[in-house]
Amino acid sequence: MTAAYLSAQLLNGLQLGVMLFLLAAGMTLIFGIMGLINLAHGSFYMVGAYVAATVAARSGSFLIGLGAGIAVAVVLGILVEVTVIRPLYRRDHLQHVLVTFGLILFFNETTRVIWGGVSPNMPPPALLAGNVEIMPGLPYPAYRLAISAVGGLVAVGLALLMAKTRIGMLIRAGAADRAMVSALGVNIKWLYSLIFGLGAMLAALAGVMAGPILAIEVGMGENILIQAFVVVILGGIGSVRGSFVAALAVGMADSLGRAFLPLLLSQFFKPTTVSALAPAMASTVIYVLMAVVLLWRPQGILVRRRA
Amino acid sequence: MIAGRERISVLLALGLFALVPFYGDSFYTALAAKMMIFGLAALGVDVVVGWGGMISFGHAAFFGLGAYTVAVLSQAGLGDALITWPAAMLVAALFAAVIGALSLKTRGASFIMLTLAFAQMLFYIVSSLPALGSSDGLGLAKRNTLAGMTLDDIRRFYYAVLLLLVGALALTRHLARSPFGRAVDGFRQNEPRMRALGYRADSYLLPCFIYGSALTGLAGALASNQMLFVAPDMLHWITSGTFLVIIVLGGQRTLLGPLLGAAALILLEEVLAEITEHWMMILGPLLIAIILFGSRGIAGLLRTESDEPTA
Amino acid sequence: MNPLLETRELRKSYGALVVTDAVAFDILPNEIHALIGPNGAGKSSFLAQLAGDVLSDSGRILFEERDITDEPAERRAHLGIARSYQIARLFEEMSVRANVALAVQACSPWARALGRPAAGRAELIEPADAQLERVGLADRARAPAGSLAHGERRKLELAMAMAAKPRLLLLDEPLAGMGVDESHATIALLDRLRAECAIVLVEHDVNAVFGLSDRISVLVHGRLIASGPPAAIRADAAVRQAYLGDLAQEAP
Repeated sequence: MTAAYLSAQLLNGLQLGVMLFLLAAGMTLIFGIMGLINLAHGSFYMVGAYVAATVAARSGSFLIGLGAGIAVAVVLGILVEVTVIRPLYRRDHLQHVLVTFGLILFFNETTRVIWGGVSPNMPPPALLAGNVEIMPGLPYPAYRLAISAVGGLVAVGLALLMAKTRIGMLIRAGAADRAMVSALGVNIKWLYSLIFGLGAMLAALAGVMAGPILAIEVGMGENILIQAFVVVILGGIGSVRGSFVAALAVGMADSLGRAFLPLLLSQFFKPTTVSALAPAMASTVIYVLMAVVLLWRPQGILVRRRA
Repeated sequence: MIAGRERISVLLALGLFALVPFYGDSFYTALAAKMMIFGLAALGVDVVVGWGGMISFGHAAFFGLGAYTVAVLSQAGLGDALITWPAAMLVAALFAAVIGALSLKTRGASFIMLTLAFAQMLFYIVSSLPALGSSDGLGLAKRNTLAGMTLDDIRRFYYAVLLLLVGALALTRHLARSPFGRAVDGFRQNEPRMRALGYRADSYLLPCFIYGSALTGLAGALASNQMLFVAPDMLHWITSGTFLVIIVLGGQRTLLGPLLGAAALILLEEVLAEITEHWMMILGPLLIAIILFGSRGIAGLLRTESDEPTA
Repeated sequence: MNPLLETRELRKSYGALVVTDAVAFDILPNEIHALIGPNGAGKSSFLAQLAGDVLSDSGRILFEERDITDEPAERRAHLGIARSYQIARLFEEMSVRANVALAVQACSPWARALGRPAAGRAELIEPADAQLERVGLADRARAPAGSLAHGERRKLELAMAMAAKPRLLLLDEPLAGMGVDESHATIALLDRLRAECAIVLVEHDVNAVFGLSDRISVLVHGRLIASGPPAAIRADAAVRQAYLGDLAQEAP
């Protein structure tokens, strides 16, 4: 029983971890290369989920919904980059924060207007609707397993993109030295739009996949975004590999905290106290983790210490 | 130097606020009180962001902590402002000391994300603790008394707020001009140079962060008194964002900026809310336009170039 | 006499790029010890290591026989090391006087920082004005630092460094961007400063270096290739080949 319970919690942690990675990877690239703090990154996650749920319901196909959600988010992302973000690159951080804050207000309210405050329902694809018995006595939702698998594939794909392709080479060069990329004759504006679009795509993918397991609602983007910030900081800003490690660590810490803190507390407190304290304490686990890592190495887990 | 022209505009603005209860009805008095309370909260943010150059995206936490301190004390039967308001500042300051010390291990983008994350952690804690009313928040039976005197009359409460605002402005002006304030300004302009001169960042930036947070905590205490209600939303990151909008609208490092910014934003909200219930659809793009095309904020327009160098 | 500051096997690299390599350097109290070498030799980097702006990879730095290798910049400043920067780092939005006053204030305890306005404090203003007088910037005291010309910025850097009353002054190209007259005045000032503190001088003006220095060390590719009195350095064949070329013959 305990082994099965633990395995299930670890799988939950893995699944949260890959979702966080999909958001954090885009954010850390956008910050590392363009120097931009994008608070509105969660909006693409939300838009992806809403559009996919609606299109999937109309068309009856999860895959068409998935494609539509991602496509709309990417188009929106590039549109936002060209119109609003581009003038921001030379500005200071406070202006990044305020403009992207304005974007969040706009996207959230617009979503409320279009969908009228109703949370669309999104069932998982029929093929993945049931449970899989991953070990004797441990049924686990097939869809949740699929999320982890897709997340893992994307991580591998991203690693290949960065390591093997010309675009990946440009992205790595851009992270190291912006001037050099433009000296190579690359249109840096085009590269920035591309990276922003890539970030929007990853965020929307996470949002669509979250649709069947979480509530699709206004503000969903910001809730996960803040956890993704924790991941970006822990992984070291600009480091995709660091984000991957940190995302898994944060996902695990959060799931295990939620599962085992009540058990731990019940050793010391009365059940009423436990039910009062446990949710509050569980939500702080990842922030405590963040504080500990900060005290230990402020520049991120994988980033080597520089003087 | 806070030059003659700015001193006059500060006194003029405060004088106008002092007249509101004489000419406005209770609706306008309450509206103006809200402006002053948000102005005070934003003044605390400006101390940290404008003067100290530390972009805190987590000041809603201190606002909320101040408010909840008053609510909890009032449920425990402690209802006098002489106890509850300083207590609110103290609680905000204590949390600011911890959050600030941790966040100041970093700078730049990490600092922004960290203050946001820690504030959001407090938001989640407050909204899941039954003792604090969970996501419903807590009601206050009545306003705090001030040294035994009731503040239930909106006018009395209004002048109490005004007095505190004046006090906070005077103290902030004093600190900004002191050698301490100079050093904080130095850190904002050029931190490596300050370190080479022998200044320790923790001795200046952390006290600055704590002081600014205590002011925002006091504003939270006042807000809970005005609304007779506290809710987790007070700690939400949207509130933090609103404070930043206010100081940029009003103008940073100008004493008057936060008050003017708060007045402008609250008026704007009132006007937009008349037009449509989805006023945030207008506010968002408006905000973006102001940042992209605007410059120094409302108070910046009142200030001449010759006022700039601090001699 | 014991050296005021001494480095042993000091090393710093960025990846494959070694900027200082096993540098053994020392300076005596009240000595002017110049550090010369071609561009990119690692002179500024070495000063940054001495000041604590950059932490060294290995080796030791001793100041008054005390190991300061791992001390942060602000601690070293309190021990009596001050520096000026190659590219002037000023508080651009403050007045010239406020810049120097901030350097003066760094020496006084924190508790005194609250209270009366900085602008009205004689204990900050008077020492600041005295330093501005020395470098010849007194007439610009009220101007914003951001409005200064290049040579004036160097003078302000010098005034800020001196305001801390250091025992060791690290100067990175203090004469760069100065006109002939300004340059002469500053050289005379550095010569007088010898009575107050020791100076590590990084400077491209060969005449000034050979005229002022008690000792000169030559840094090439992060290594010290020679060290000695000016006459010996001028005569050193390796130095001529590596760096000085014909310049040394022109020097008086």
